[in-house]
Amino acid sequence: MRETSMVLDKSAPSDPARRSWTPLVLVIVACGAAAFVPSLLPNLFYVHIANLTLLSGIFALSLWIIYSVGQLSLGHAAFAGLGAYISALLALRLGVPPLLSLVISGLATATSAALLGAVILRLRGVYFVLVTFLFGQIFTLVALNWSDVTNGANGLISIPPMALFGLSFASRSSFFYFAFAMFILVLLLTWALNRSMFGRAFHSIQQNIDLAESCGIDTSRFQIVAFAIGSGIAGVGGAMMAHYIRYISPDTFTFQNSVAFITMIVVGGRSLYWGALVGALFLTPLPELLRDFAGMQHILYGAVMIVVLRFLPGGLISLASLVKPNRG
Amino acid sequence: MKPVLEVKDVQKRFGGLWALKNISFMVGDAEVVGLIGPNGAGKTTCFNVVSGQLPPSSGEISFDGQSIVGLRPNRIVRLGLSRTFQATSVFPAASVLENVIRGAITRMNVSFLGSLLPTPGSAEAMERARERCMQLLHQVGIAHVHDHLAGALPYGYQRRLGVAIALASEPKVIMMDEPAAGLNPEESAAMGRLIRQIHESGQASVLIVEHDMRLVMGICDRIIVLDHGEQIAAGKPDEIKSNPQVIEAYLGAEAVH
Repeated sequence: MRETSMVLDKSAPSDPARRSWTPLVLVIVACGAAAFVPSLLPNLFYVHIANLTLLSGIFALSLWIIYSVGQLSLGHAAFAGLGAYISALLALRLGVPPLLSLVISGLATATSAALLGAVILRLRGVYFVLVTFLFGQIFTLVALNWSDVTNGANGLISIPPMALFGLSFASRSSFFYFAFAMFILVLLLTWALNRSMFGRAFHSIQQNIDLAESCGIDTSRFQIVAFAIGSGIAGVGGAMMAHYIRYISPDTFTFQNSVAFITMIVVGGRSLYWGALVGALFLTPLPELLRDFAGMQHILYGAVMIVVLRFLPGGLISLASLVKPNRG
Repeated sequence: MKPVLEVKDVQKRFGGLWALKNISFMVGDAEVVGLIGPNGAGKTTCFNVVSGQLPPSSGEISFDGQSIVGLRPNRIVRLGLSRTFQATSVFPAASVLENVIRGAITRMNVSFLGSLLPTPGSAEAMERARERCMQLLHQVGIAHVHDHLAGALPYGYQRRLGVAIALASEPKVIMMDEPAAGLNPEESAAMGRLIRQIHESGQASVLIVEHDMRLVMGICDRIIVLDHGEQIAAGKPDEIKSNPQVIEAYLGAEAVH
């Protein structure tokens, strides 16, 4: 209600995310550029960073889907871990082909998120955050202590690499293409969701849940749907990670990782899904770029984050509106 | 008159406090009913119980001949009973038109899964919805700001937008919680005209909770008076004005000033 009349003359950018096709064009350009990435990078370490960045992008985007119904999940890494363990165990114990185990783990993770969501349906705000945090802790404890299945703290080793119709994605360079394709899939899904009636319902809930309910939107159901979709994608991402690193342990998916995904969304910009993308793209390679400042690395990482949030509270994507204000 | 909304012996208890005691009233086809009473009389509780936000402790509420007790608010809206809120309630980060479209979401012929892949059919349905929502904005008089951010609108406009959002769900009865709260006399009179017009055009029946006595007396066909959770009177505005119990409970206090 502050400054209402002052901003009145500025017309709203009439929901750009909904109508613009520019993201699709950008995606096609990115696909073209991606074809050359592995061969252009100086060594395999950079390819590895690129792969991790793509995985982070998947995690951040999927967390953004949950955020778009106004919920903050502190258990995102746990759902990724759940997907990773399911897929790794299916492949190791039952010999399920990795692609199939990837699909199964995604569905299983989404289902468990839906069940958890149905139980905590009435928990809003901080209570939801707490329950997802506890879910993460329970996941870590189970992974540590159910050693018959999870091999405890030693983790699971020799997980078979990703393969698709006889095509193996074992090497870092070849996995890049698989990760990139999956990343684009997730991006397109987020884009389609966002501009569809789902996006309309999601944003209504985020902005004013009581009014959304009064508009006839089944707010509980859509919150569960968003939570299940987001967590399911995280499960797929975790499974990809398992078949890429080929080793997982309870330490691979911790509370710190969940916080890192939230940080990506906040630093990138919460208001649009592009923000999650920018955040992942910026924060995943950042510690590696700061590697030259050994010892100072983590301090600088924190400092960069504080500077970004101090001067760009809307996240890095608000840079765009600084460059060209008043696009309306 | 055919009753659309019927409230029978509704009680609401919060611990040891009876917020509503044996409330019974009905809203017929095409009328404007007012719900008045001094502060703390239970008007807003009554609204929240009828709209499904709070379950009644006992009693029966039926809409269009169907019991709505225990239904979630979104189901009740889909049956045709919508509401506006006491404070301004809009989607602040969306455009004004988008706000109204969100209100129409349940009446649009667009399937959710189908909208993931835009088809000509869904685009056409969307276009029709957009047109209808623009008409609603014309009706409440804020069509000229349809592309502004709802959060940036002045207070009076936000109140009107709230009405447009509620109308977008094509209600048979629209419940308004203090539609004139915080409005100046002219804005209040304009809101009164808008409410009459909603009713006279046969769009919907109106049930309003209001403090502004001039507005209530001016536009309501019937008035129900609550005091301390009890219904103390019901009737036409003139009968209410001369009802000694009402004067004692409510108007009397005001007449002193």
